[in-house]
Amino acid sequence: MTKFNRLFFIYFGSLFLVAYGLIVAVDPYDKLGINLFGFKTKAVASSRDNKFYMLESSKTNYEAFIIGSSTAHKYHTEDLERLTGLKTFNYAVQHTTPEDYVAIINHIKSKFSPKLIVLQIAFVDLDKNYETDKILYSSPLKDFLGETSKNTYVKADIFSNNYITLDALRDTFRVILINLFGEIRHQYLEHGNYIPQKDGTGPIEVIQFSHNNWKLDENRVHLLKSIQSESRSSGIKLVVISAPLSIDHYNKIQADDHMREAFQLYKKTAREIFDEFHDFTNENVKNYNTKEYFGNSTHPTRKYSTIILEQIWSQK
Amino acid sequence: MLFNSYIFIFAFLPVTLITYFLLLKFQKITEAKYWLFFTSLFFYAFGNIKYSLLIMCSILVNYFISDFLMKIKDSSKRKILFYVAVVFNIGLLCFFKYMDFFIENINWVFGSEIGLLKIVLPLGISFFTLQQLAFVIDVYTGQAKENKFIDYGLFVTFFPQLVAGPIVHYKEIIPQFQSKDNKVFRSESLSVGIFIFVLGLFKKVIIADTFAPFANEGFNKVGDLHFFSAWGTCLAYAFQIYFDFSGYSDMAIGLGAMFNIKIPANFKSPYKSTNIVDFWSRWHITLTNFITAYIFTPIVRSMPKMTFPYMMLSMFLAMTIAGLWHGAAWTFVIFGVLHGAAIVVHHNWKKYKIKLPTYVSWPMTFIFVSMCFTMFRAKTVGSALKVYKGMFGLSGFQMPKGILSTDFMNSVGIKYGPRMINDENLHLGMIILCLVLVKRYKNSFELYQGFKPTHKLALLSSIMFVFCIFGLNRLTEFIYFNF
Repeated sequence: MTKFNRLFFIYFGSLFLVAYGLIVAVDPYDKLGINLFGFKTKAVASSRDNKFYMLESSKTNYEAFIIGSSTAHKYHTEDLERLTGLKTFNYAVQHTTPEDYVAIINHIKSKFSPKLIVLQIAFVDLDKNYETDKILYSSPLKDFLGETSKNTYVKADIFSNNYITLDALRDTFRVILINLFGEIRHQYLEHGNYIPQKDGTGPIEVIQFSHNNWKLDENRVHLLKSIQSESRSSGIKLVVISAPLSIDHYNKIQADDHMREAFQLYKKTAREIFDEFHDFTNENVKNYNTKEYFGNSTHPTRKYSTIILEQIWSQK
Repeated sequence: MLFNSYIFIFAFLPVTLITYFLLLKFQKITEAKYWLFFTSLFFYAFGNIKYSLLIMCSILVNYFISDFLMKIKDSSKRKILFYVAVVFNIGLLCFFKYMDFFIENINWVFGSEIGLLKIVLPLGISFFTLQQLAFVIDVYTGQAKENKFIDYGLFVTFFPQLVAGPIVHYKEIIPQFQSKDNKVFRSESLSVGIFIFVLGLFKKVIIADTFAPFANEGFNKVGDLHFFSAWGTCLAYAFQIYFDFSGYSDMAIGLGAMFNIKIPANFKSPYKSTNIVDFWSRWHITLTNFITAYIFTPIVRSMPKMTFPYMMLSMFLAMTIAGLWHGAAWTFVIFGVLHGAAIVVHHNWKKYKIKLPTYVSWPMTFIFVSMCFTMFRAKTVGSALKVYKGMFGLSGFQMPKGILSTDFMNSVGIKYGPRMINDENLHLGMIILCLVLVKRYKNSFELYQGFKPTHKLALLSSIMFVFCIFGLNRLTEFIYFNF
């Protein structure tokens, strides 16, 4: 064998072992319980992975869970605990669709015996054109998708669950850089709570208003129905909230014929599916039209999230 | 089986390669060929065994017909046999690839409701059918004169080029398997093979697969595309398809080299082209050669006169057929029509001695080709038109949120629209980087020709390979597997 071939195999073997060894030593997703360098945070990876492993390593016996997309990030577990007396974990992760909710609930049920689930759904959740985040299919939650979720991802092979991935390599370096030099970009506090943020100033920006081809996704309707029926049969109280939208966002929907009809269909469908559905996407939201209540048109602040929970439990 | 999979790289390839050369070492030449033939069939059947029957049937029919063609002297019988082979191959392709397209159009024109057959396209059917058809034509015209079953089987199934080309000729491959020099293990061939294979793997796993989500996102939301996002989508796909397909071809060439077989180059920096004819002499070269020899030339010969307009018409028709070869949809037909029209325009400019400076002709060619790839990728003609609408600024000039600095963009009056994808800055950075890469640097063919097994190159190849191994968990198919 020529020198080139020998060198290639030696270099490859050495570099691979160094890279893999570094990933294992840093353990960016806390899969192995290793923290050789004593880093303070590893919270740079996707929120699905982070929250999954937070719960996996938790010794708290949680009884209540908050589920939803990033719009549900600001529900504070203390608020729900105060209102219900149940130990709560916030399992909201970015960019979710009902496929995520199925996997998250299955994961919760595999480890805990939940009494209450607060599920915040959004208008986009039932849009057929709104794709499920592919990160779901590479996250550890993919093993909890269950029969009900018809997904199209390529079945991963034996290496997929370990650390031989570009994401793991990237996140290892991010963990190192953030701990040594940087600012922590995205961190969840204990019980899955979001880091406190200052209220912004100026008008509330209308974002994520691009679903003008909204079409009801029957498969996702089926998934939500299965969540309700399984909650009923497992004795879990399911409280469903429609994610609030700022008044400008709401008015934009109302001004468009197709969007208005789609929005009504979304709410009608949700009301038909769920035993307990709370609609916070209506004109009353005009009373909360400042940055104190909305970070942007689809993301309520901690203060507004608290108000929502209090309003729901005051009706009970 | 995919080249970009652990099982291929760490199991199939080493076992096939080592056993092949061990058999050759012990003078088991026929056994070595059969080993390669059966492992290639295993490679093809892995994951979907049912289509290996189809390829076997196709091989047997074509082999026996070409064998008869060689033996029979009577020209009328030869002609009949030749037409049988043509009908068989075209029929096979039409049935598996175009039947539903044909039914859809019948239903559309006549308002009928004939049910679709929903046939799953057999992997590589366009490639192995073309390759065999070319062989039958060569036999019929007397250009191919010998035909042993194992040689023929190996010519069709040799796994590096089986699924997505390059489209090879019998005379390019089989003499190499017969050559004495190629029957011994050569470590320098392994070196160049490793280097070119790793280069192709890097193109696919690191570059093309990074562009894929950007392109997919854009084409899934064609209605939301504004000026910048439409251009981003168009360019993302132009780079995705180039790095995906040229990556596959490099891997095929690298694998061939490991077996001491030189597979012809399929890409020679197509995005450096300064006109459309230049582009087709650099892009999917083996297909261009096939179109020229087996489609364009017969069409020209069938024309009443060999005049410039007839030549142009022949070229236009040949490109339209080439478009349809890529897939059963009107988008592919239009892709062929656009290229055919561009070639005709180019020849007319040449005739009238119109010459553009390179700083105009290069961007013009690159943008035209990229826009044609938008038609190629879009699910429908309407979707492609929506992307074009965005590219021409008819859907507004909003910048997707997250790209560059908000303060800077606001200061120059650019408004932000909805977020298209995550990592917009990565997308922008990749496009700029790849523009530089494809325009300034040597292509794989040049690197192959000038390969020197240096210490530095071994290090560079191993670094690229480490990145690829970490990227293999994404496990994505090659775009050209669909054709």
